[in-house]
Amino acid sequence: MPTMLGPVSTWEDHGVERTGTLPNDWYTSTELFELERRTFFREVWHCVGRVEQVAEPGRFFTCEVANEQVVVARGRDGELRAMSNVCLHRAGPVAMGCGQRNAFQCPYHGWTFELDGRLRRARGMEGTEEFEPAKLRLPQFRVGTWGPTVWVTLDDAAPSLDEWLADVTPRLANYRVDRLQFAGGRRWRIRCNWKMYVDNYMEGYHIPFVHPGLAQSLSPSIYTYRLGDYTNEQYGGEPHPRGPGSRVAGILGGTQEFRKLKPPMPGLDESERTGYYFHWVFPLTTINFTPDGLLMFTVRPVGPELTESTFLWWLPEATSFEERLLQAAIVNFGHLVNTEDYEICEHAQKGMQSSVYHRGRYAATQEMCLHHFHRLLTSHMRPHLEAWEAEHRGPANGAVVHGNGHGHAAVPGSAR
Amino acid sequence: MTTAHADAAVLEGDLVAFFDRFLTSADGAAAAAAAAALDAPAVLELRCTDPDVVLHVDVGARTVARGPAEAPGAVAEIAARDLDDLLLERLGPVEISRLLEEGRAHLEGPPPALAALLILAGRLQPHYPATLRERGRDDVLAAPGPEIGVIWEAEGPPPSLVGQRRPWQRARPSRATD
Repeated sequence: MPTMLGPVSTWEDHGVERTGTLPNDWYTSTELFELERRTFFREVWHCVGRVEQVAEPGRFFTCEVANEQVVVARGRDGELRAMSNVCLHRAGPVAMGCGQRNAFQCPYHGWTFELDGRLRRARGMEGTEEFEPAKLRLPQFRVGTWGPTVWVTLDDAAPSLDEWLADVTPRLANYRVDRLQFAGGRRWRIRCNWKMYVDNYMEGYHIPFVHPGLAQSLSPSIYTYRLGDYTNEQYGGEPHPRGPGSRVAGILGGTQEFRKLKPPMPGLDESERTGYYFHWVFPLTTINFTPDGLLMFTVRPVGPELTESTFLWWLPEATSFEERLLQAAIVNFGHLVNTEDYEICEHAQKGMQSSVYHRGRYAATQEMCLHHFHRLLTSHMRPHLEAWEAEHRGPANGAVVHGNGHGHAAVPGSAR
Repeated sequence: MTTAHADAAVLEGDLVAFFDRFLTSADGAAAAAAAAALDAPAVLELRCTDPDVVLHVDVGARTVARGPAEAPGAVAEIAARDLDDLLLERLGPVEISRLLEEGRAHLEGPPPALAALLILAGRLQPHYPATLRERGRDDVLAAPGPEIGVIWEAEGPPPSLVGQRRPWQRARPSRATD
């Protein structure tokens, strides 16, 4: 019988070699998803937009973080702020979409706010007592920038963004990210839990089966992992960077000549020229440095079994039509890979509903990043699960054993 | 039907002039020399839609002709308006990829032929705006392109890919079943 903590089965870490993967109810439980949204998602840093969107005073964009409506704006003083995008009057949006404004005005009743969130004018409030507009301001959230991106957390106690991204930041220099241009991106809505999609990113074990094109671009013998505090890194080396070349599927349908046609960006060291650094940032962002540019993708949990994934591309300015076509081939290849991931994640999400599957095992030498993710997630969730347990079952109960009728309490395949 | 290409005969005339201009230029000569090294026939069949025009270009022989090719090395299918946006450099890499991802542009042929087509496209492209200028097609040149650098989302789910062999993958030796 699995032990339950809060709405889901417990996960105890005995090392990647001896631990079962996250139980299936972590991927299907509506209660857990609501708990994550009320607690965990508020406590972490989210990549919400691009610096170029708020480059000048008055520029702004809106976003949603853990069900919180947020507007990010550059003030007249040049300061970047993240504020509640909920009007203090009757909860209308003070800003919509993105653009440039001198002030924000709620379209519901016309209350107007300065770019820094202070209430400028509340029309028609004469006769309302104990109402002091000068004291009212939209609640502020923590905001920071990293490279070309803007990040927000709703938690005042979260570590700084610099600390959060400390292991990734050194890569910015060689890739000259400040010289790359935002080229656009693509969004997918995937019918799976957000953890299913993140799990999939955490290992290269699936590449030969799910990504036959990528498998021919990365060498299994040059695939390494490194774990950090809030990030982990996978490195995949191209098999023959200067020989026959990588086979890149997509627009070319696989060509031996790709790397000859499209040399790596200048300024990269040997490993950067000949491989891909895949960084995961706990819990919902990936930062991928490639010889051809920067690809990030952000994950937005929409529902217990619905996730939004957005690819964002930063590439060097193409100096010729041919180079732009080659960049298109790279984009096409990246989107093909994600489409493959999309599909397998939806299949595996259906599997998580199975009555005879509870959890699996880690491939100890290939899924340590996955284990790292589960370890970080469960340690962050534990106090919230305990609080949920106390609230729903009473503090005396603690962690209680519940049967789910499947009898899969033990780690399958483990020595007992 | 787009306003810039309302008439298939006019589009065909533009495209024939474009390929003629390229093939008779130094770029065309260089492409013909490179084509001699290809294993596949250096014949591109271009199928334009909206309005419909089919041409084939023999890069080696430096000729362009109306209608489909007998043995094309590569086939490219694309709407006339998208071809304009592509060859008039109104698209970034994400938008070019999107043409393929949404099936608005389609390429067929063995990888070496498609790689050669890509290199050919680099030499070919400058001749398109030049041809349009020479033919007074200011309407095509002035037509606005799409917004670029945006994040797009497909309407439906993507095609099924997992477990399916790709055209460029080597076939596995079949296993005896009896």
